[in-house]
Amino acid sequence: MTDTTTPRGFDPDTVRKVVSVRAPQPVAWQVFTEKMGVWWPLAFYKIGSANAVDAVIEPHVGGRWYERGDDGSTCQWGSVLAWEPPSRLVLSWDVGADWQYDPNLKTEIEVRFIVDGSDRTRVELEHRHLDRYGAHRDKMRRVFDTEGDWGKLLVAFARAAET
Amino acid sequence: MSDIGEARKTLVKRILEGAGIASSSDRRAAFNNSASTGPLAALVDKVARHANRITDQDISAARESGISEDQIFEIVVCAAVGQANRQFNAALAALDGAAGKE
Repeated sequence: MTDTTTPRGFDPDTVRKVVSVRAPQPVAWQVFTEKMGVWWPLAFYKIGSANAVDAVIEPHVGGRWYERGDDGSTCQWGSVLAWEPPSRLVLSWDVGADWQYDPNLKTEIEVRFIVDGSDRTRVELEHRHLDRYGAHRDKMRRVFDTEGDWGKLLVAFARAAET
Repeated sequence: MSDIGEARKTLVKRILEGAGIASSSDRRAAFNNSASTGPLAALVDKVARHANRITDQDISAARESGISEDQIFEIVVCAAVGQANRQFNAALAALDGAAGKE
């Protein structure tokens, strides 16, 4: 099952999504962190002018999270704030409402990979500190929560993890 | 009348998972019309919901986002087939409803 759910409780500064993945915890972690370029719809969700061909998370605290273009260029999306394989990852998401990199934005995405039986993983994603978008908070929350949202991206991730 | 169900499944599987330039994840996003931001998402939404309003500017804007003509072509095909698939499913559901099935 790859349907996502949104946990109850409304917080205007936070978006939460959950997906149950039919894959063991280490596999789910690996697909999320090492194969993001496989499941992320890069033609749609990118910020650079080049044709994006990969999405990369450097595997350590302080590492960059970025897209790589087919011309070798890179455009940073954020940074690694916590790297605790295979159970917890915290990234900063520093892409502003104008879809440009803003290193001072520092919204946070925490992803937890929770063992759910021998062959399933519950993946919980929380995107918080959306208040840092200021006047654009509600618009960006709508994007992350209900439009091209984290839930749909998690479904794409789960599909990749299950194959 | 022949059952087109299998042909439809084959078509959908081919355009989503078969050989192509656009990634499978991009093709699925187009098929489901699930993206919301950027010129490519705008083009996909037009293909799905207002195909008669597509202009050269929509294609140009998608191209200027860095993706190739081949990617645009494949993504447009996926968007069109995705919308047709949804309409087909809706029609089948309506027929089932009229026939008293659930």
